[in-house]
This record gives sequence, structure tokens and C-alpha cells, in this order.
Amino acid sequence: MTQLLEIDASSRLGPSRAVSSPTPVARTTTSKFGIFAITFAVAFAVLYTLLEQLNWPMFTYHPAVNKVDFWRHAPRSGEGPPMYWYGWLVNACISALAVSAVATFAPVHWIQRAFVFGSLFAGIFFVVYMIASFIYRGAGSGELKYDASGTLTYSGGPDLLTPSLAIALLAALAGSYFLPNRWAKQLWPGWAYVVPIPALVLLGYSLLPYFTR
Amino acid sequence: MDILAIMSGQTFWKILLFLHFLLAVALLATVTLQAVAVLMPARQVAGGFVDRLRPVPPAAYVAAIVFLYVPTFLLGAWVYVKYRTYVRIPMEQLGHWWTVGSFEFKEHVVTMGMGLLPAYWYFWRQPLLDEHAGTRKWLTLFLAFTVWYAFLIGHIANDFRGVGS
Repeated sequence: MTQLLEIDASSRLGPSRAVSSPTPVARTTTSKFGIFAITFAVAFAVLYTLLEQLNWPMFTYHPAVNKVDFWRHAPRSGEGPPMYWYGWLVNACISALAVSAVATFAPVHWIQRAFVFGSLFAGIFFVVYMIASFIYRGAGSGELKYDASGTLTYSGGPDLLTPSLAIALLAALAGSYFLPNRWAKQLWPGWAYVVPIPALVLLGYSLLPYFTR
Repeated sequence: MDILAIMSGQTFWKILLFLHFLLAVALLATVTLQAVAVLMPARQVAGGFVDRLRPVPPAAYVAAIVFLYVPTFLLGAWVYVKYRTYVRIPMEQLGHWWTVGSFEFKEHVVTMGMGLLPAYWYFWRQPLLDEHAGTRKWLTLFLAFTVWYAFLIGHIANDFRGVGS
């Protein structure tokens, strides 16, 4: 579970060293809290994005009438606009807490590999799907798009989604299997700030209709 | 005791919004100082204005940032209720779509910042590991981005319909 990390205490005092390390320390461990914190950052970003895109809130709040409904509820006449954000937030928080808690009981190298797999899968799926959409554009193929309620849905037509998912799955399995351990270990802390970036890009992209009216 | 018996609902929400603003200013200052300290580590104490900000160790800001970020977020989430009914509807009616879209994005940006806080806290814990210096730097810059973005867009929304508008 724990993993020893060597530090060269005698290393030259470079700029990053001056920024970060006032106390020289010989060695330390990746604690359970470290595993929890990194996993939470990644899981929360992914889950929040998925829940928002699929519009799966735990509850819907109607601020004009101060009323809460379980799960997703469309606006009702005379009750003002519904708010889903709180519901996505609570859903994402609980799910990410559960994932992170489970991760603290798993060997850290499994988690590191799982992150590599997830990132490869998402990246390859995006590229393959974009290429397939470009090739089959105008051929009446199905596509991922937002419906009137802002929910991500797959429209009818020749299915590009399943083959793209299958290719991404196989490539990510192979990639994460063959990636050397030390690479997975080196990449591991960086996922905490890398994963929220494409998540924000995707969330921002779904808001495009506001900027193109 | 019902707070609305003492003051009008409008005053109550304006006080909340102002508190949110005060916390946001403090957070903005703290996260900016840390970002400057991380980007331009001090090599000497004397110098110009920016040089004099740099000698404070970046780790000294961490607790303040976490303890400002959480209440600012929670207060913002509370005030958001009023925004949804009292501000956003007229914004849409007047066709301020860029402001509406930017504010929608703000909710995602600050949420991502909240999700990062445990990792941010973890990587800035003492003793600081040299090999995580890059991770600390990028986490700090990401948080600084979320705070700056939220502050600017919040300010624009407030100018539309808020305190002093």
C-alpha cells in the first residue's frame, strides 16, 4: 500500500526547490490520505462532468417555491426555473467519496494503472470518434449532441459510438498494460490537475449555445 | 428568530452577497500571492514591489486559501439561489447571453476547484517533497485561475443586478 519515495537531500537548491521545500526530508510515504486526495480530485472531476452532461442530479431545487424534488424534474408551470447544480454537486461528491474510499484499500499501483487506463480510454475515444464523425459526416450517421433540455444524447443513424468505444477500450487496455510501472508512478500525482482541464473544456463546450445566440 | 423580521429580504440577500464579495477579495489576494510566490520564487529579500511579495514561503498561504475557498464557495452557492430567480431571468430577457453563459461556466469552474482542494492540501503538507514541486505549482495555478475567473464573472453579474448596481 505504501510506497517509498527517495529524495536527494543534497540536491542543488534550484528555483523549484526554493519554492517548495524549506525542510529537507530524507524519505516519506504516499499515505492513504494522498491516495484518497488524488483519487478524489480525479473522480470528482470525471463524475461531475458525466452527471452534468447526462443531467443526473440527486435532486432538483425549485427556488421560486422553495421546493425540492428527488432526481430530475422538468420546470413546472408557475413554479419558476429548476436548479440542478446542487443535485449534480451532491451526487458527484458522494460518488467521488465512495470511489476514493475504495481506492485507499487497493494497492496504489492498481490505482495508478486505472488512471492511465481511464485517461487513455477517454483520449482515444475522443480522437477515434472525431475521426469517424469526420469521415461519415453527411452520411446520416448518428451523433452525440445536446437535446433541448441540454442533456447529452445520441441521435439515430449508423452507430459510430459503439465501434469508437470498442477501439478505445482495446487500445487503453493494451496501453495501460504495457506502460512501465515507473511511468505510471510518475504520472500519478499529475492527474489531480490534468483531468479537471478536459472536464472543464467539455463543460464549457456544452455552454456554447449561450455564446452563439 | 426569523431574520427577515428584522430586515427586508432584499437587504438580507445584499448582505450575503457583500459577505461573499469580502471573502472572495481575501481569497483572491491570498491565492494571487501564493501564485506569485510559486511562479517567481524569492532569491533575495530586497528589491521592487513584486520582489518584496516573494519572500513569504508559498506553503504559508495554504491553510488560509482552503479556509477561505470553502466558505466563499458555500456562500456563493447560497446566493446562487437569488441569482437564479432575481438576476438570471432579467439577464435572459434582455439578451445578455454571454454573461449568462460565463456565469454558468463559473459554477463548473469553482466546483472543479472544490474537488481539487484535498489534493492541493495534501501536496502542500509538510514536509514538502521536491519531486512534487511541479504538481504543487500547477494545482496552485489552477486554483488561482478558478478564483480569478469566478471573481471577474461574479463582478460582471453583480454589476448587472447586485450590490450597488
